[in-house]
Amino acid sequence: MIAPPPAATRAARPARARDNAVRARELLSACRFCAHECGADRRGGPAGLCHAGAEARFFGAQIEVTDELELIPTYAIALSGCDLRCAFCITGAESWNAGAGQAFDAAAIARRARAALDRGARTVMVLGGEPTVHLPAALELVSLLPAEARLVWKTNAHGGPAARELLDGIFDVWLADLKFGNDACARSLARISNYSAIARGNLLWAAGRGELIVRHLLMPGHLECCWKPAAQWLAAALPGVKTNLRGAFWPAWQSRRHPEMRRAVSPAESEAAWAWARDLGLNLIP
Amino acid sequence: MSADAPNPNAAEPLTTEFLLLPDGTVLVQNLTPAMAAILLELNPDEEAIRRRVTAGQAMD
Repeated sequence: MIAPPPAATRAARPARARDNAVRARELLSACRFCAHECGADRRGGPAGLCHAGAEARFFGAQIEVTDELELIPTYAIALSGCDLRCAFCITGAESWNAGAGQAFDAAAIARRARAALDRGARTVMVLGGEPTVHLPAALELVSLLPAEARLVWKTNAHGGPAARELLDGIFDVWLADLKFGNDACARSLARISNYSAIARGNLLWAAGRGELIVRHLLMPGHLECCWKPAAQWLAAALPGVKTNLRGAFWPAWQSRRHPEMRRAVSPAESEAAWAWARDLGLNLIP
Repeated sequence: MSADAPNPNAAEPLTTEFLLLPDGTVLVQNLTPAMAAILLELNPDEEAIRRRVTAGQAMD
């Protein structure tokens, strides 16, 4: 178990986030935040594989109790746009469109987040889409939040080295997806290559720098190819890591393009998935 | 919360999405504390929702 950051480190977080936000804005001229590392110049407007410009937009900011019990109630801030193209994305309309939602005003959202914390929210969660795409805005937000707030970075674990450097020590909890168990499914369902090496590398990195919670969304017809190898890897490479096995898949967005994804996870699939997890000794959390 | 503090949900419609399966299972995303309380009233035996309602009660 990793100890929480010392008070001095925590106190310095807003200032460090502010500095990192400035650096992140500079990097928009040749963006390499996500693992695509496409190098697009985003300063003039939407560009690159994520089609995001320099200014973030958001499509949700509210108190929620959907997430892991140890994190809720959380003030969840969902930024528009993503670097992946998951066919089954539950927020596909906003995640595939970085122009969706409203203009993101870091100061206004920070005020609302502080009010949520004052009312009893345990955490502030920055998510998407994929927040890595909007690193400058996310860091600007953190710079305006109380140093003692518990902050959660909800990510698809497809960030690149530049993002990791700027995020190092900024968030208390990395809530990271391990979506696929192999590269072929990642290519077919999310249009990305070299997924396993990238996601697993990011999870190993995050585990060494703070609290990590790994999520896997069970997908119908993808237990043997995705959950089983993912679970086996977690057991071997990150023993004891908190793992949230999520069963609430629904055939959203463009799932219908994949015949096996046109339904929910069956009870038999769910039971098998949980049995494997237990047999492997995974540290499952609700 | 003081009277002049911003409402964290101000000016935004709260959003929770549901999917009702043919077998009666309810899947939910973006669950707010208020909607969790309603779901618990519909099914008081649902432990997963109960725990989320309890967590939500931390809010004033």
